[in-house]
Amino acid sequence: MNESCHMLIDYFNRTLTEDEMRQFENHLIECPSCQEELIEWEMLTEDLPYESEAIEVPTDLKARIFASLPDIPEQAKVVSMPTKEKSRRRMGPVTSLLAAGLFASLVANAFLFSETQKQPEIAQSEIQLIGQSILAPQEGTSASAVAMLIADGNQNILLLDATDLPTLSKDELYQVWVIEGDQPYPAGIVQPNETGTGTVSHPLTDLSGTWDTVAITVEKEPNLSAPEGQIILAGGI
Amino acid sequence: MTEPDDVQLYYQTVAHNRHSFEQLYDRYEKLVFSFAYRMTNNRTMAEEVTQDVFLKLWNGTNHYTEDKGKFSSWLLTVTRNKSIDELRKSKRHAYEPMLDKDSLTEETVSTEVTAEWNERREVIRTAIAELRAEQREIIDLFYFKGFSQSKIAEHCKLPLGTVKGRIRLALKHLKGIIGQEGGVSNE
Ligand SMILES: [Zn+2]
Repeated sequence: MNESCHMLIDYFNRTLTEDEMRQFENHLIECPSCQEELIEWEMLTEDLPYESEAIEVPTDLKARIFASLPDIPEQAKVVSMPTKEKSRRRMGPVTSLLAAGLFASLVANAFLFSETQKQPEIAQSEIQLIGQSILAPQEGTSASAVAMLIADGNQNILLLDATDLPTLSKDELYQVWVIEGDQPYPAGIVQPNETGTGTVSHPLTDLSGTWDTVAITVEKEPNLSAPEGQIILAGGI
Repeated sequence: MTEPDDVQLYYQTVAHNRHSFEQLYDRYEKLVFSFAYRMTNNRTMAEEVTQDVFLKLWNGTNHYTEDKGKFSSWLLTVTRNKSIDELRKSKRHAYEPMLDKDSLTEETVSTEVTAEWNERREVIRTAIAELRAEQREIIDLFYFKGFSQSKIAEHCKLPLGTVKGRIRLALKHLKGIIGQEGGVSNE
């Protein structure tokens, strides 16, 4: 227990000044007992919001909120994360849109991948996240996918995790593409499980690495030289 | 196809999929608004809080990750934080009597979220009613009014050093009663 530990309640209730807030957050990083306690307070209070009486929402609130949404230009529909040049960073605390768990599972897949390729296992610290993106579903589907570009030693790998993919008929498959300017390259096939979830890790050895778009299409045969079928998801990276 | 879960909808919202955002909005509008109203006791503020919470979702200002727990719990924490900030800004700390009781409605449940909420509310209210008055009061001052430790001490005529212990005891007692009655587990 040090002096800062006593600030936990006021931190929880946001009654600290900005300076005190920062002071406490610095303390929190190195005080396991405050970390635990904060989780305990969250757990002890998690039911309380549900004590609220149901209040009739003003009928026009939704319309007002939706009217105030900033206009998003069409090509900005995809959240591009760190770009290749700007933020090549060591994999550390991944403070991104991605769930830490998802990231971990993708990295685990990268390891699996290196093992099946009979490559020496590399230390986790050598894996760098170069870029990531959430692919935007095309009209009429609720599918979603997260694509990540990871540098694994000297090799770049595309990791892709898709959910809610619509069921395909027998002779169809989901083809992943990376697109460099106008030139598409096949980059693996997603084989979704029965709940529509599938993951792919694909090495990008033959590519110059200036590609900027990732897409998933429905195709009749694998690894065509260009997509022929319908686009399900697409986004810049 | 099963309904997309909150986390999926969240990711799609951050990627600016309007349809997913709308689904998420419809799921939580009433809960967020009602909780904001419970916190602020003021309709205008509750509207501002609701607007802010959802706009920040859309704009990606507040990042959710699955290690932050359940999406709904996270969303409610964001709602509480914003409500407290609004309260503080307007300095409306004093308790205001509710003026528009007529608008309190127990509507027939339509969505899964409202159904779960109604069930939980029943259990929590019964449990709170079993607490001693001082324990009810300290939970109200701490959680719903967001008072500082010193303010709670002053209000409850307690030494500052014992405030935290008292709140924790009250919350643990409440959790214990809820646990016995069951049905409010977060899993
Ligand atoms: Zn501490």
